[in-house]
Amino acid sequence: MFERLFSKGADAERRVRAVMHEQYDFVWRSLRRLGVRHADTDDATQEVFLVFAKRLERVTPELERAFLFGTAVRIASNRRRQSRRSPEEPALGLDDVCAPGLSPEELSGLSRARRQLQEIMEGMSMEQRAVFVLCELEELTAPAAAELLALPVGTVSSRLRGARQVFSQAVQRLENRRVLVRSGT
Amino acid sequence: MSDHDQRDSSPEIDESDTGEYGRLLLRSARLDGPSPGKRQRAVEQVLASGRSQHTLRHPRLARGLVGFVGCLALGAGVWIRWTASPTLSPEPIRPAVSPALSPPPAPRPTRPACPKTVAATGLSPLVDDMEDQNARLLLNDSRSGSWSLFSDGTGQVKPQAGGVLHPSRIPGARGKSRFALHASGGRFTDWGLNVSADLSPPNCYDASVYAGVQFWARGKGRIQVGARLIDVIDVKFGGLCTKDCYNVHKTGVELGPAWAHYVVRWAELEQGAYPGRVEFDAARLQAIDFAVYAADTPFDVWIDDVSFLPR
Repeated sequence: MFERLFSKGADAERRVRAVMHEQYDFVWRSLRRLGVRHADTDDATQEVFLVFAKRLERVTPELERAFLFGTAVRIASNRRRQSRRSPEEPALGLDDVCAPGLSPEELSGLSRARRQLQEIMEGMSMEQRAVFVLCELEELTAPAAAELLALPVGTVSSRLRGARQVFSQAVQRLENRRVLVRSGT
Repeated sequence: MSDHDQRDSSPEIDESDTGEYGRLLLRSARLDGPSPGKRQRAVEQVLASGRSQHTLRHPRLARGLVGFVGCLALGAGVWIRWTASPTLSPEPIRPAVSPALSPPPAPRPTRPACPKTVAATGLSPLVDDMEDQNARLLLNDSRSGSWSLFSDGTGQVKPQAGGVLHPSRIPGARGKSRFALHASGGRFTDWGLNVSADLSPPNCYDASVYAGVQFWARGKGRIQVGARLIDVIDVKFGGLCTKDCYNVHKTGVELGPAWAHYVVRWAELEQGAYPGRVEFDAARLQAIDFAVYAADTPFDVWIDDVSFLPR
């Protein structure tokens, strides 16, 4: 019995290690897209996995990804509340964009686009944003996102419609602004 | 699914809504990711933190028991000296495995290596519950393939063979399960038909951490449940076989009209008694097959909740 219990500890480590290798990038990306500042994302990612490690025995393997994303949403909400009291995030540097093979101009354009996307997503509620991240950026279908969020598909679809509306309107505003700048008016 | 839902389920934002700039914005986020090397450092830090907080090395129950036993041992030491050597070991103990469940022997040295192998961790055995209604396997444990249906072309089969196989709605459902794979058809005269799950194409999938496969099924007649190794697949289709190919390791399963749970262990799989025989090695899997021989047609088969069998 004791052997089994100690073995359980080793199994737990093995499981945490495997899940971190498999899901680290997903959690990091999700946190970043849920509004965690770039400088805080590494710490926040570790926080998510520490919560996972503490509650390991209560998380079934089938629900690991859902648990990690749910935890990421909660941690992102807390971090965003805290960061409202902190100075604004400086503009992202070129080094922050993981896109090998692109020219400096393309990188600069992507960096600017990413900052604008973050600003647009700030206009969404956290519920809408979570669905938008899963469906538009992680490219999951609405039923798959619903499974991950443990929500009815109808609720996910409704939130996705709202998020897409926010996104489309913001892009339209940006396009109008770009036209105005180009025409010099 | 209504048109409305289908639009919401589509992975992309409608181009007419947002245009090229909208797509650039979305693309910018898709290029976002952690710096290389961060993951490994984070793994070590989380594990170290878990150990220091005793959340991983010693689960709560183990800590309590160890303390309790320690007190007992101290008291007993007054009465009994050197009665027994300590039995606790901080090293992980290898679980006992019965001979029937022993992993298959390692491949012979002459066997060509897999071009690339993706190894299962054993933590997420569910291959697909079909409830997402798409043909892709669940993205569990490094699996990334899909369901497909192929036939010898001599008989009728529904849905049409020759491509991916989507789940169908189960009439009356099966408990909480509403969708399953379904294929039915008339008499075949050649090799029959095959429903298969490519596990991680084009790689070998190392499923040696598992003991076999399990699934729910119902139907008329008999199916062959197989594990297709890269060694029996023709080189023209990404395998390593150059002669007498497709002698798949398999076993027959009799289905009944009611849903039942079936378990097939690697040790039960056998090749046909004809050329092209290779030793079974669960580290060289390419697909799980559910085949119907021509002799077992006509047929009507439902398959659901396909999962690897944990050891």
